[in-house]
Amino acid sequence: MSKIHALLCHTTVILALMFLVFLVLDQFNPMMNFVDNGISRWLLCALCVSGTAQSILFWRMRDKEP
Amino acid sequence: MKKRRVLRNLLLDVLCAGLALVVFALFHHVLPRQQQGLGIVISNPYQTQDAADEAGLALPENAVLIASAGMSDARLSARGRQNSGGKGGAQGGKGGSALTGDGGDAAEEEDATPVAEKFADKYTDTVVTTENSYSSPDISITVTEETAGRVTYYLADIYVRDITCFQSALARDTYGSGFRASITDMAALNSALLAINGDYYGNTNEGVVIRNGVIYRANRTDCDVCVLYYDGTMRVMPGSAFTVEDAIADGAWQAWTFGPALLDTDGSVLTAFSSTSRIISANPRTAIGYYEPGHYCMVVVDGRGESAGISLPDLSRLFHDLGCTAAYNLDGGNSSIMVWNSEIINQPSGGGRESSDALLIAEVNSHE
Repeated sequence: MSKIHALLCHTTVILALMFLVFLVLDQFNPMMNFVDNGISRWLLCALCVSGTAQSILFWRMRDKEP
Repeated sequence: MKKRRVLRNLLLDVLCAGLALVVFALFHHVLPRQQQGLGIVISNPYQTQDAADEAGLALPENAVLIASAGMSDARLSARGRQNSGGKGGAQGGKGGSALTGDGGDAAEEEDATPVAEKFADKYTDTVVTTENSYSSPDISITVTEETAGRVTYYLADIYVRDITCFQSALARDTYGSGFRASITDMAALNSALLAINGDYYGNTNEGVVIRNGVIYRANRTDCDVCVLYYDGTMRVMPGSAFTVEDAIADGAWQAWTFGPALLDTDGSVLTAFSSTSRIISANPRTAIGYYEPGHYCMVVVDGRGESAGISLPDLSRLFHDLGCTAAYNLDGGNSSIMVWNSEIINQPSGGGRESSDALLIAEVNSHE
């Protein structure tokens, strides 16, 4: 379980960093459509799934703590 | 110890994110990917079918011919313009456009738009070239370098009798994403007299792309769309107002998606633009202007160097002062390039860059 949690943490951080870069680039050149293209939408979906799963795992782990 | 572990993990994630961004960039805009596009061909209502068959402009494999239903039937059938020879020997007998007036018989003379007569003094019977001008029976171009304060811009004043002289070129002659070529190469390949960079359509899968009468893409966005029609008119409209049906009915010849529109619908100056301050501020720019059917201008403004570039409101003012009734901003920054006589005449920021498309003025009929 802890390995999955660690993997989710890394996935969330990596995807979040990517989106931060997309948002910055989008300010410079919105025509490049970094934020709202097909690949970005899938990455955003992955970020949401990863974040949600991580939160659920965190709550479960917290509930199991004595 | 714990701090070091967190830092190590964070560094690892940053590295992984960098790697993922490289992979993303490869798939998003680096690797060339040919796309089918809609392939709807809007036929030229001012061109006979025989002439259309002989025309040299390449059509996509999946092209579907659609007539421009909104045009007059009389013009469709009567406006063939029989010229001998042609570009590369392939365009002999290419039909004239709405802007032509030298059809031959009386019926065709009656059909001629006043435009051809109005600008008759701009054209010459033979090709006449100077260092900064070109004129022929179909085209008249005058290129000037202008300086206003710290801003240097290049203005090409263009008259075309045949709208098919106002062409677009796709990098590597292929529609898709990731295809790029220098404006000089695209100009040379298409024997263009004048060329500027286009809207860099290959950067995104959204927006309207109509090139030389072929609808490749018609995904509406928030961006303004500029449409040039076979009858020589140019209209800039909000992306939401564009429809394929209207484009076909009205006979669209070219359409670009970048923007924004630089003049209001009544031709007045725009001072407010819905974009970030970074985009609105002074930058190198490429833009096209429209006076009336047959009369256009192309403007390339240098920036980020000795020339400071120009902001969108100032560019709007410039087109208004030029007397344009519509004007449209194209891809700028390092992309802004104007090619005249096969040479880049401006000083592109950062040395310029390749683009996925270009706007060209080229002869479609041979002239002695």
